[in-house]
Amino acid sequence: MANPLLSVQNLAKYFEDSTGILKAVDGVSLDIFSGETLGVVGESGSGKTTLGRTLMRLYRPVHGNIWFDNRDITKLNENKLRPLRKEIQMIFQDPYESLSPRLKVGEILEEPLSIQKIGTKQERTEKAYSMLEKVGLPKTSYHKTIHEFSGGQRQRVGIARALMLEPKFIIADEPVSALDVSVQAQVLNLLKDLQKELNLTYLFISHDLGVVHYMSDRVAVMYLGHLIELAPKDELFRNPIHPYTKSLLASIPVADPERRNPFREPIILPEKPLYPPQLVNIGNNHFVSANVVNIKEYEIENYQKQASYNY
Amino acid sequence: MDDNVLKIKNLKISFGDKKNKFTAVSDVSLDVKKNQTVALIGESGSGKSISSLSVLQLLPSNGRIENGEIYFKNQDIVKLTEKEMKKLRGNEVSMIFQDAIALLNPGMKVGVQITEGLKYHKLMPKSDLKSEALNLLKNVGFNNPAFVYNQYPDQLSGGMKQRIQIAMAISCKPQLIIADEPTTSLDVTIQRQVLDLINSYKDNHDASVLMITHDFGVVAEYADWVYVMFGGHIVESADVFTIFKNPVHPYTKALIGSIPNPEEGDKRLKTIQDYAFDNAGFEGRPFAPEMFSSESKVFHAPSALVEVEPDHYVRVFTESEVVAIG
Amino acid sequence: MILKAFKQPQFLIGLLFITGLLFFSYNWPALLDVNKEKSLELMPYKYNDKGIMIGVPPFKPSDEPPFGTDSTGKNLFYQIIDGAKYTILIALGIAFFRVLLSVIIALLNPKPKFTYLDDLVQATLYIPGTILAYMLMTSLIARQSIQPMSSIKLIILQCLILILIGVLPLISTFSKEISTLLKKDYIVSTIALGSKKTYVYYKHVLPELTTRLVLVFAQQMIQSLILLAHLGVLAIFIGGSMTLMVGDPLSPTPFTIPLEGEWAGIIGMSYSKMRLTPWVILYPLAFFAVTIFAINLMIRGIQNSVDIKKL
Repeated sequence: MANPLLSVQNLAKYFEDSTGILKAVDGVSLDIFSGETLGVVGESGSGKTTLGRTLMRLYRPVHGNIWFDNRDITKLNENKLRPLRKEIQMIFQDPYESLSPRLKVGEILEEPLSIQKIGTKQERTEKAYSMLEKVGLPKTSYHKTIHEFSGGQRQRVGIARALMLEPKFIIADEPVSALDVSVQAQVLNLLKDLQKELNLTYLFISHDLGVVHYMSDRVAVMYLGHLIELAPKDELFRNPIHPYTKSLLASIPVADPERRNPFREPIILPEKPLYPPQLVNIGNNHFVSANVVNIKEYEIENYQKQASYNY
Repeated sequence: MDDNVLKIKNLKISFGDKKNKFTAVSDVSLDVKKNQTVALIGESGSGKSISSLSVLQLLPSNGRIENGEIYFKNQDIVKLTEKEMKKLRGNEVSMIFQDAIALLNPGMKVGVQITEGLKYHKLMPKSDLKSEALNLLKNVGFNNPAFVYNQYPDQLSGGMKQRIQIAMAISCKPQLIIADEPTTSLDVTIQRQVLDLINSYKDNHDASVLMITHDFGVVAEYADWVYVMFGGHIVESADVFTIFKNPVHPYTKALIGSIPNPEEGDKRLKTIQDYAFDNAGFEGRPFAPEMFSSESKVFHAPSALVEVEPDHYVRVFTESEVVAIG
Repeated sequence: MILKAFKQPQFLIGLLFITGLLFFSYNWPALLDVNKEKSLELMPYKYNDKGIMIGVPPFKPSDEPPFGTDSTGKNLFYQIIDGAKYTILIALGIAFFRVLLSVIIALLNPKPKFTYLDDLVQATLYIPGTILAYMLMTSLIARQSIQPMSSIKLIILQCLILILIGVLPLISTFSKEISTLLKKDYIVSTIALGSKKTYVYYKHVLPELTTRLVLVFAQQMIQSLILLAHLGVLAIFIGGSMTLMVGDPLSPTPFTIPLEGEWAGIIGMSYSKMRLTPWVILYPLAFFAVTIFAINLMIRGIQNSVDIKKL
C-alpha cells in the first residue's frame, strides 16, 4: 500500500496523580491510510479517547512517535503545530459540551477560519453558509445560538465546524453515542457521504461495535490501554483471535429475535499484562497482540512477527 | 382477571399545575404476563420512564396520574395509600435503575444494604441476614461474596454496582422487576452479564420483567413482547418476532432500520425519512411519519390503536390529514 | 449578562444607593450650601448671643442635628458624608485589585489542585484577616513614625497589605475554575483548531467567568468594608493618624484622629469613648451596614438575572 497518512509507533501516554501512574495508552502502533476509516473500538477505560487526543497532539506522548504526512509531529511545539491543525480535526462526543453556548452558529463556524487567519470576513461567511448546506442544516441556522437546536442538529454543527478548515484527517470521538438511535443513523450517513465527497480519512472511535463496523474499513480493538487486535473489519468479525475480542463480539446483542443463542461464548476479561505484548501478523492484514505463550493458546499456526510493530 | 401480573389501562400522566400543564403520557395500556419479559422501547422524551415510575407511584412531585388504572395481580394500585405501596415496593415489585450510584448508600457496606429489604419486608432475623446476603451475592455472579460483602459502594466498578442493585432487587423474590435502562451506562460485555442475570432470575422464579430501553438489540435478545413508545403514546405493540419480521409503523421501521447490522455489510442505514413515503398509512388513516423523529415536536392530533393483524397493534391518526408541528 | 442585571430591581436599588452616596460625598458642600472647611472645623465651642461659652463638644445628636459631633467637635453627619467616598473607593480598589491580581495569576498558571497553596490557604483561613492586617499595619505605622513617609506612599502601602491578604484564597478558587473550564470540550476543540492561549482566554474563558468575577468582586468589596471597620476599631486608619492634645490645657490627653475622614477612622477615633459618645460609633456602623446591604442587593440582582437566563 501507499505511504500511510498517519503512522504511530509505540505510542504511550500516562497520567500521573497522587495515587500513581495511569498508563492510559501504552505501546500502540498503527498506520492509517489516506481515504480509509480506521475504527477504534474499546470499552470505558480502554484508552481510546486518550489515543485520539494524543494523535491530535492535544497531549504530549510520554514516548513513541507520530508521523503525519511523513512528518514527525511528536515533539512539535504549539507554534509549529498551528499550521498542522488545519489538517487534523476532531468531532466530539457530546454536542452539548463541545460547542460554545455563548456564540451564534455563524460565529462557531467562522472561528476556525479566524483563528487560522484564512480569508476575509465575507469569504468566511460564505464558507459558513455553504458548510451549513453541506451538513444539511437550513441557512437560517446561521443566526441562531446552539441551544435552539436538537442533539442531532448540534452534532451537525460540530461536524461543520470540524470541516471548515478542509482537513484531511478527522478524529471522530464517539460522535453518535450521545444521540438518539433514529438520529444516530442520519449522522452516520452524513459522515459517510462527506467522506466520499471530500476524500476524508477518519479515525472513528466508538464503544459500539455495530456502528464501528458500519463506518470502518479496518478495526482496531483497544483493551486497557493496549491495542490488542487490528484487522480489516470483515476479517475481524469472522475470525477474532484475542479472547477479549471474542467476548466483545459475543456480547453485542443481535437485532434478530430468531437468532437468539443461549449458548454464546463465555465472557473473558483478561488481566492487563504488565507490558503490551507485540503484535504478530497472522496474514490477511490481521494483527493480534500476542507473546510466545499466547501464540500457542490462540492456536495461531502461521504468523510472522511484524518488525515495524516491535520495539 | 387473567394471568396478567401487571395491567395498565389508559394511563395518562401530566406534569405541572393547571396553568402550565404538560401531558407526558396518554392512552398507555400494557400487559405484563407471568414469566414474560416485556420491553417498553422509546427514545428520550418518549415517556417510557415516566410510565414505569408511575407503577410504583414514584413520579416526581409535580407529576400525577390523571386517569387510568394500574392493576398488579388484579389489585388497582393507583388507589393504594403510601403505606400500602411501601409494602409492595421492593417486596413484590422491585425496580432496577440506570444509575446504581444514586441508589446505594455510600456509607454502608454493600452486604448490609442488600438485605435491608429482607429485614423490612420479610422480618428476617438478624442471624440469617448475613448468610442470605452472601447467597445473594453469589447468585449475582460474585466469586468472592465474603469479600464483596464488606466493600463500600465507592470501591466497586459500575458493573459491580449494577449487580449489587440487582441483588437488592431480587432479595425479596419479587414477582415483577421493572428495569429502567439497566445497562445504558455499562460496557457491552458487562451489559450482557447484567441482562443475563435478570433473565435467569425471571426464568428461575417464574417472575416477570418490564424492561425500559432504547436499544432494539437488547429487545431482540431478551424480550417476549414489545411496546414501542413515541411522544407519550404507544405507537406499536406486538410479540417480539412479529415486530422484527413485520414492523408496520414507520417509526418502528426506522428504529430497526437504523441499527447497523454487521452481517448486512455496508448497506446504507435507513432513517425515518426513508420510510416517510413508502408506507403512509393503514386503511386510509395516516401514520404521519414525518412527525416521528425525536427532533420534531410531540404530536397531539387525535389518534388510536388499530389491530393490523391478531395481537399486533399500530397507532394511526384518526383524521385523514395531519400536519407536523415541529 | 451584566446588562440583564439592570432589569433587576434589587440590583438597581443597590447601585443607585452606592452611586448616590458617592455623588453626594463629592458634592455635599455645594448641594447643602455649606462651607466644607467650616463644617468640619475642630473644636467649635458653642457660644450664646452674648458670647458666653455654653457648651463644649461632644454634642449629642439632639444638640447638633442630625448626628451630633464627636469629641473633637467635628459634625458627624458631614464627616460621614465626606468620608463615604474614601471608604467606598478604598473598598472598591481593594476588591478590584484582589480580583485582578488573582485572575492574572490564575490565568498564568491554571491548576486543578495546588497541593501546597491549598494547605496554606486552609491554614490562613483560620487566622482572622483582621489580626493579620493589624500586625502588618502596626509595623508599617511604627516604621512610619521613625522614618516619615508621604501620606500617598503610606496609603499605597496600606492598601497593598489589604489587597495581598485576600489574594491567596482567590487564586486557588479561580485557578480551579479556569482549569475545569479549560477541560471543557468546546475549549479543547478551539485549542485543536490551533488557537493561541491568549485567544482562548480572551474569547472563551473570560466571558464565561464574567458573572462569577462580578459576584466575587462584590463579595470582596463587602469583605474589605468589614476589614476596614475592624481595623478602625483597632485604631488603624488608612492614611495614618495624627495625635492631638485635648482636654484640660494643664494636663492634656493624647487623642488620635485620622487624617482622611473614612468611616473606620471615625469609629476608631471614638472607640475608647464608646460609653460617653455612643452615637459616634453607631452612625458610621449603620452606614457600613447599609452599604453592605446595598452591595448584597446588587449581588442578589445579578444572581437573579443569571438564574432567569438558565430557565
